[in-house]
Amino acid sequence: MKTVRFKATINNRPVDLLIAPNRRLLDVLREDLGLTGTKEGCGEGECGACTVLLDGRPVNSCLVLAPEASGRRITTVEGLAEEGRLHPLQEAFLEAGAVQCGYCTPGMLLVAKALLDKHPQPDERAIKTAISGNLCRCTGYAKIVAAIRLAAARLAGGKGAQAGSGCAKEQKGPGLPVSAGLRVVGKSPPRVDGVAKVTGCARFAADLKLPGMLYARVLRSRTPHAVLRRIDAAEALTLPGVVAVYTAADIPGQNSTGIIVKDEPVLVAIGGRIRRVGDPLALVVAESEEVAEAALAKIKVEDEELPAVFSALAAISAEAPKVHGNSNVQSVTRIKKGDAEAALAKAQVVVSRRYTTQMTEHAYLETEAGVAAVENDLLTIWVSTQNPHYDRREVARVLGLGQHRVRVVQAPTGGGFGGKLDISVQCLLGLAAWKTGRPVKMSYRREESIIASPKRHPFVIDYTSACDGEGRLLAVKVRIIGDTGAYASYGPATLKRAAVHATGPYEVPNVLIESFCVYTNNPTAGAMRGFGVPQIAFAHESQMDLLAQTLGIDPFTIRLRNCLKTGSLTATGQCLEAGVGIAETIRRVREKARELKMLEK
Amino acid sequence: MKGVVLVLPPFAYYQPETLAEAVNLLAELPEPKKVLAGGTDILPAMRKGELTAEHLVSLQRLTELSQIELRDGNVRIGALVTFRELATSPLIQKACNLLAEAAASVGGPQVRNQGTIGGNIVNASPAGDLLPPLFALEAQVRVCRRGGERILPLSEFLLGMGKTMILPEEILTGVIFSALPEQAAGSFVKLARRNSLAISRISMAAVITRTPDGDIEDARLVLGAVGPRPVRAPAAEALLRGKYPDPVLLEQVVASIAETVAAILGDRPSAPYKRVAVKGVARQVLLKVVPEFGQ
Repeated sequence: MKTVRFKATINNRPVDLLIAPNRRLLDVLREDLGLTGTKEGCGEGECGACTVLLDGRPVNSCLVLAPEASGRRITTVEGLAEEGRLHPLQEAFLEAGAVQCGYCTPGMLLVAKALLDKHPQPDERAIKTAISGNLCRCTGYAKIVAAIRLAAARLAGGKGAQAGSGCAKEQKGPGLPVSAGLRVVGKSPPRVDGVAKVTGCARFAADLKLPGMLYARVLRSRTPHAVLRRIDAAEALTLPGVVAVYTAADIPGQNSTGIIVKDEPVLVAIGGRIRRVGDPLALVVAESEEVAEAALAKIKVEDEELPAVFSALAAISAEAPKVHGNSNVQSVTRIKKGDAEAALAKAQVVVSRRYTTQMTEHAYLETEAGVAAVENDLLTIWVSTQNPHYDRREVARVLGLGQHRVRVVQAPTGGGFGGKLDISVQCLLGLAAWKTGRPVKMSYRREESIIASPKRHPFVIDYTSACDGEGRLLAVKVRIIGDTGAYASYGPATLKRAAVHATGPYEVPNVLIESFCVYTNNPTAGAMRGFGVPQIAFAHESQMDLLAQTLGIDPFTIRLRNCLKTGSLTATGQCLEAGVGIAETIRRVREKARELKMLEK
Repeated sequence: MKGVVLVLPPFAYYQPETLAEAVNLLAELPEPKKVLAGGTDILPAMRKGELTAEHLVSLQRLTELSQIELRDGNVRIGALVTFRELATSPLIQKACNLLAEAAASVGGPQVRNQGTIGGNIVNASPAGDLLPPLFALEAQVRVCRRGGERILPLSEFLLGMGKTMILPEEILTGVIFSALPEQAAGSFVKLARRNSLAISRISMAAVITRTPDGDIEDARLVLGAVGPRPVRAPAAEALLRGKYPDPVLLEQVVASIAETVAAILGDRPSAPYKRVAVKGVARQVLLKVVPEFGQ
């Protein structure tokens, strides 16, 4: 391919390169120029993480062909701070708490800069429009809007900027000294990694580059349920730049992972079972990501498809195809208090409903990524994770190494929300680095992240509630079926928590709760914010509204009449001795709702 | 993974300086060849292997295609005019505000800074947001190749999902349509899953011309994202003609549009939702164009 000249002004400095024309501006910035503050979130212009300013206007650098940016003026997050002084926007983001995981931050800062450069005094609507092409999964946007307002006010005030300068100085420090101790209690200290995140200096896993580094990609199953018969990598291995293709046979230790149950293979073995679309079959290691991807297409896979089951309700029937062993029920939790059946039979009001909830993807802006390297017989893995200690144990087990030979470093992690508690790239990277002896990097594409990562458990909840004529709860009977997909992950614990919380914040004298964690050939479900509680809350709160409606009483009244208080016994028989705040919370909600005229009365 | 290779395949890249140079180049290059404008649709499609081009001809230097002009009552928009330029152009806001409204609803600010009207037309997505207003404005497209130009109605040029009448050696250079007269008004409304970064589930553009007495003289109602290309609602247009707008007429027209849409959708999975939702979209756009519908 004929190269083209790429000559531009980037962050006020001239750049002159020869590049292949099939490069995105994002790739040239990150790979050729080391400007890794610009992040890749989706590769399709949907998230804004890769935003840069082109002649002062924000664009998604993943959608700009690099040669098209030649001759133009480009600003990246690295160009915001001048002479070591943070831009007022960077200061405001730190002060307003607009920086959390930091992965959307560079893009947010740049759209905000473009806005303030043209409209120094934007109203709230203009701010919201300006950031409307940028997704943030942590903050809920309110603090980002507040930060932009703050920066606008400072910039307009001119001298008003002084108000923030003292604070900015504090934030420029490397972090809190350990001796700060109790001096920060009751205060809002700056984030320890805040400055690195607003300047683009924070090195997320995909930003790391080690000398001699190789790149890995995973070949994944396309069938949801099958026996793997054969993998033929001969043709892939002939591609120039392919270093190795590993399969289950190359794993020196235990070929299994799982936080609660070790039921998930690192790579499916020949003769072993594929249990979902996306199960890892082989690992390609190559000199470049492009070659690794090209090699994936050259690997031949033969499998023998089996009947699959895609619904948890179907999976519990006797005839359903079995995902593991001879039952799809992974675990059962039963909670019994009093005599629910008897109470239901006598109650004045009984409401029964079925509630179903859907699978949810965490969609953290940073996809799973890591780098592994071996030095002096010590394997180090820098990885985007929420669970480094677990990662270390699993990598050591899979490689058959003592834990003292494995070190896991949590890289800055661009959002997790529970989805990075499981193993993603860790074991495969460890295998590749251990076998090749060279540093290896792997970062999932967004498509792969969505296919391979665990989800929120979809529930089917059958909920029966009974109360007397005044709306006092007499009994609940609940059956929860949670679809944990192909592997258990955090499923047994999620379903147990759903059961424990099934009565909600209400005191119920008679309770019968059963929850089932069920295998299917769907994507694996694991931990996600709330861990089974949001699903069941949807059910118990809907039930309270229905009971109130049936009796013609106010939804606040029925809740206050039943909510837990000091001395209450929960469904599991725990006596609540102190700190029960639900009644106060409900009252405050009612006051606020009245204040905002959200209630008719 | 579905054989998806998310790397841009190799291609030769050309950056002609003039339209003449560009059409000459396109005439000589072998296929597969593609014209590159903003790139916001083409780049992801090439990465996913949905579109192949061994020769990519960039229009970036053809500044002659970046103009918006009003001449002899006709609005002429160059193919490289971006969504942002359309959304913020005083000329467009005055002469055909519905096009500005549609442009402002596309993607997010980054995509609007980069994506172009020419790209939106040639991409021919059923959910392309500029297409319903351009249909309502009865726009024509100009298409150039070496030694010739053709001008044809957009409604003929657009064939269906991803398909147009453009030939591999041709460049769409712009669109042309009559500016709305004083007594006409138009608007565009889009329903999507969220306010920004969202693809239309249903959209509607309307242009309504009134007599001096306030009666409706003519109406052009165009629905987007309910079929492979925008569709007019002739029954609803006929209902409006010659009538004075009031809430009763509004509901008759809304019901008629819902019927038209139901017939197009058939038993597609989205039909039960869209059959109902289109009523809200229609009500909203008609009230924006003619406030008397609400009085």
